[in-house]
Amino acid sequence: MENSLHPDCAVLALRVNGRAHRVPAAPDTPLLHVLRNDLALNGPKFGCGLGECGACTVLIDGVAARSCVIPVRAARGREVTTLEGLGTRAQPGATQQAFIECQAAQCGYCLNGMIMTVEALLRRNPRPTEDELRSELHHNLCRCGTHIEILRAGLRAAQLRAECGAACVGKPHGAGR
Amino acid sequence: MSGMPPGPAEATPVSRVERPVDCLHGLMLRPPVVLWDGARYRGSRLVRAPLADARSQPGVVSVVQCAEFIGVVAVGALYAGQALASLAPVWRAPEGGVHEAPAGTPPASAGVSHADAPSTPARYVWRTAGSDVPAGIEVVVWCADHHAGVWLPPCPAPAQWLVRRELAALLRLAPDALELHVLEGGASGLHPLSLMDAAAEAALLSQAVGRPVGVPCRGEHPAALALSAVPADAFGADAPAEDAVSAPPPRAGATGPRLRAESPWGVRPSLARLLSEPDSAHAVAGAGVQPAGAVAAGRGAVAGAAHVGVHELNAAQVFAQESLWHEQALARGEDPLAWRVRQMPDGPGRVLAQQVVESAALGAHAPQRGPASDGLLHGRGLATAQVQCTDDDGGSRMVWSAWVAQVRVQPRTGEVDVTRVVAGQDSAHLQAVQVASTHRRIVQDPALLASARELLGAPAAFDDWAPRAGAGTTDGGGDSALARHTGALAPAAQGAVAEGRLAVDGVLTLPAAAAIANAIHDATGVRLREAPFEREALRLALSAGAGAARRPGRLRRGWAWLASGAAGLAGLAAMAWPVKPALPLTEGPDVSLYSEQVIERGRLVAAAGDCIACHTAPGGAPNAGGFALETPFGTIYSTNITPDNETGIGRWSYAAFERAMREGIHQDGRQLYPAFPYTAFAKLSDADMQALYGYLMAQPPVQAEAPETRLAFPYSLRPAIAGWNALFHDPTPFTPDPGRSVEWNRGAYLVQGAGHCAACHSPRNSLGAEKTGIHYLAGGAAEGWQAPALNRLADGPLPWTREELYQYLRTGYAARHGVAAGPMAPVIHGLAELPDSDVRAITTYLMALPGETDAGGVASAQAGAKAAAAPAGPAGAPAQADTARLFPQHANGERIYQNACAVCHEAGSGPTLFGVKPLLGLNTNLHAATPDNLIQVILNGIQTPADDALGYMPAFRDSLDDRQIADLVGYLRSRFAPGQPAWREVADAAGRMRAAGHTTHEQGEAQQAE
Repeated sequence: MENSLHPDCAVLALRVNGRAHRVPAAPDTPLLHVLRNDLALNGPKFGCGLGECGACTVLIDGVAARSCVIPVRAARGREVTTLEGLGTRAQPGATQQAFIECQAAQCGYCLNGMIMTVEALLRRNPRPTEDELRSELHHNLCRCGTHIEILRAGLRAAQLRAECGAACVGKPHGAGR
Repeated sequence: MSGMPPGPAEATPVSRVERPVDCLHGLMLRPPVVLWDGARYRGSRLVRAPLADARSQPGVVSVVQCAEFIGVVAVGALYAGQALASLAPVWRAPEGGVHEAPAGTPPASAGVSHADAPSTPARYVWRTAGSDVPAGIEVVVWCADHHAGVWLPPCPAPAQWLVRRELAALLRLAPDALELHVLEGGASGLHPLSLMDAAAEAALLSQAVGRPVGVPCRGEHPAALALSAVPADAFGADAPAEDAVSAPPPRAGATGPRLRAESPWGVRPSLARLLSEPDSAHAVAGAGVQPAGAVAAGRGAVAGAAHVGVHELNAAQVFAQESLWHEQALARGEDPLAWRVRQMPDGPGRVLAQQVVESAALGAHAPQRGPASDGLLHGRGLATAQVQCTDDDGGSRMVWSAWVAQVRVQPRTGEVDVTRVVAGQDSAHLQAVQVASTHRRIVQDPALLASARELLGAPAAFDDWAPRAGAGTTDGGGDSALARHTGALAPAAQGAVAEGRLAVDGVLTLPAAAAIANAIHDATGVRLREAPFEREALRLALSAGAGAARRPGRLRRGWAWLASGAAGLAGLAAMAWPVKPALPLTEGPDVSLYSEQVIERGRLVAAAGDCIACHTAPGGAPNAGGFALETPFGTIYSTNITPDNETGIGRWSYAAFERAMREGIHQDGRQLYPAFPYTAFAKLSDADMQALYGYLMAQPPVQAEAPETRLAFPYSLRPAIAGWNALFHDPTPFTPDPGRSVEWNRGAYLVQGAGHCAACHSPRNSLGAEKTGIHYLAGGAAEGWQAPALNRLADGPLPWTREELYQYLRTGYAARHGVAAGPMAPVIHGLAELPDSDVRAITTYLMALPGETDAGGVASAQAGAKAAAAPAGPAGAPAQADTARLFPQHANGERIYQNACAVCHEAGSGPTLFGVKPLLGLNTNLHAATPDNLIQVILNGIQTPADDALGYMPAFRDSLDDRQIADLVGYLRSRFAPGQPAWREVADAAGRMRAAGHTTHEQGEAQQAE
């Protein structure tokens, strides 16, 4: 139906994980579809399609976003970060590393959403309490029951982030001063 | 503070400057009244604000308090706004009441005095224009321990100087500990105080969180600077010693007239500094005019929020001082020009003035009293200015300028024309006066003449479209609104006029206002003491001076009433004629004849009228028609209004276009259905109508035949609409109400005319006509949505404040009311094209609408607010658990809410997600009489928000059936609007809307897709 409404797909300029992309897509296409199908970024998962489960979470301008209910046009002019943007297999980001250490996965389908949501929380609140972490993850669904491990991973992520400290935080005058 | 000390070397703009990544966003709480007496903050004081509530809002990083300053830092601007709105602060009114700046004095009485009138101490008023700021312009500051980085939008060096000074004072840093980066791009036309305020807010917030914080720049309302003459002997006794801070004592031997300001005579500190250091807030910049006629700073509390910069202070001072010289000369029976020159101290200034007067005398006819042979009054006036400024090289200079203006006044109408300007300028470096080559030039530039005429600009009319500041215009286009009021600035000098430091060229135009005022007095004997001048004031003074005790105002109103009555009758007679002739098709206009300005004006009229919303089919070309409009009488298809010759309006003459717009008659003589709101468009002024025609005709033609509208009998009888028109349509254009402010009239014009708000927001009678009187804007329906009442916004179930309404119209979202959805979203899109001042005008008009009050609703809403804040679920509300057990539907509704809605809508818990978190307890739709809008949103979601940043809501039409929607809606109503009765037959309504809305839903989805 989307395509019938937009026979001529627009070419959309997107910035994902720090790189510029030009993607032909109907502007109403969910961002998730473009990320997975056009950009081959399969970190974000399709779960419910209604923004209810959180498996599709990405960051838009540093804020968690449920990419299955956000049309791709909303991402124009913004910085999108997916799971792939947090680190690599060889060098996982602090939050990814914490989830690995804490073995916070059973089937792993929800983990993209868990990691991205924790990442978004830590960017605005580097030292969350367990309650704050619980509240933030309240609406990310996990069917396997690894909640305890996930909470542990969230707290560990805050710890790892604090340890990397100065390396993560810049200075107003740049490295020189 | 005499003149400007030379500033430190400015930051050299780095070639590629980028803002820091991961920038946070901040906003400051603005007190209702901001007053500054020159040394202290005197405005509203904070009694309490629930900071904890704001901290628990989504996306909030920190809430910062410092004395009266409260700011929020969040991960996005929207979150900051939402947290700020949750504060609901309580303010204490300023001590001793508010002494508002005298902005509202009627010009006819205060700004004018006739020569015969005994002269009470003369009072001069300089009015500044408000400043508009385009959305999205931010200042970013990143504070570290002993230094800070500042990222500014493109702005001139003097504005940077002011920001540096202000931040140094605020952060207690040496000025060179601040590193200024200026982003690339065209001049943004921002007022320096907009920049200064945003920078100071960002600095305080960044200091608190240690990370870069961006704060948006804001515009300001117009202000007035008032200066009164002080008798020479009273001056010394009257001025307390502290005043020396802002006005040094006159030099020995100076004999100039002196002035007392009603306000502190300096540039006010930033709001952030005023609020965070309320007990010691001094100006960092003051006027640069030399103390030949020093200004004593007033201590009357002044409405200090106004954007009054150095240039405004200088302009006001020169205007007052030079007008006063002229008055004094006349009081002594001296020739004002010669007297003024004689009184100047020896030096370059005097030489310059002498030369300018002599140049002006060449080729000029002798001044004469009384009307010349052409019935016009002629006069000449001189004014000079002497300013210390810092030029672009950082050197300090003294700059003199002098003007002689000649004017011609039409005594009957008060119309003034500036016929000739002779202006001169001289400058010298202060550091080396003895060796400096003084640079003198005398000009008679047509550009000066043109800019002098700007000072005579008619007062803002109800159909003036302010150019949007900085919106892609070329050099300084955004300045014009400001320039029109702040001074007669030669176009070339606009960019160079400085705040804090005056670029040399800016001084040239300082004497303009006084020279013209003096010339007008010379011609007519009427003293205009308010600048910019108003023709009406002069006309009234002239006719009063004519002696006969006529009352022109009343007489004129009487006739006007008769005339409009007659026009109404004529209109009625014409409209009742059942058959209208076709108007001839033409070759179409030559659009190259329309100037760029006219087409731009037309574009704004079209944006305000949101033509594109109804004249664009889903997925179709803009304005090519074919949009299906559901009405109670059947489906009406909109027409192609592109200039296509066959299927559009390409061959329509202006007369045909205007007839369609004002009377609802197609070019071929057919009556148009009033679904096309010609009833509103009739209110457009002629100038706007012509501009709209020019704009539409200049668009690319699109060949597209719109489906034919077929209504059932009897509505299919188009001629019957002629009778409808006779009953319900008033085709007279908008006439402003002289008893109301310009802003109100502007708002009324936009709401009643192009905006056609009543088309949806007024109830209609059984014949589809909008009801008027007390029912005007009392709530209506559109496309299956309920359009809420606009005539009791301030006292409805969820009372709106002006600021909330402004935010809603500007951004499509008000935290305490909800988002613009359905047919309102495209309206917000259209409004986004209009300048701030227009949106404020609409707000002013709507908030002042008379309407019935609804006391019961307020209580309900307050209960709703509490319910919104209370956690859901059995743990938080045992009573609800009982209800849930008793009523399975309720439990079902709650479960659906928890699964589908809570992630985005539950207050106080859940993740911070992209977009706003609309609180349901404060949502207008939950307190409404019918569930229609709520059901619409659940069925269709919000796929076309007014702004992408607000976020999206998925449609649940394919996930929830009617029964589930009814359960959910029932639960939402009982939880979030507990004081309101339950809605009935919700499932049926949902089923109806599901069926009916299918087509409009798809249209809505496609509407915004480009």
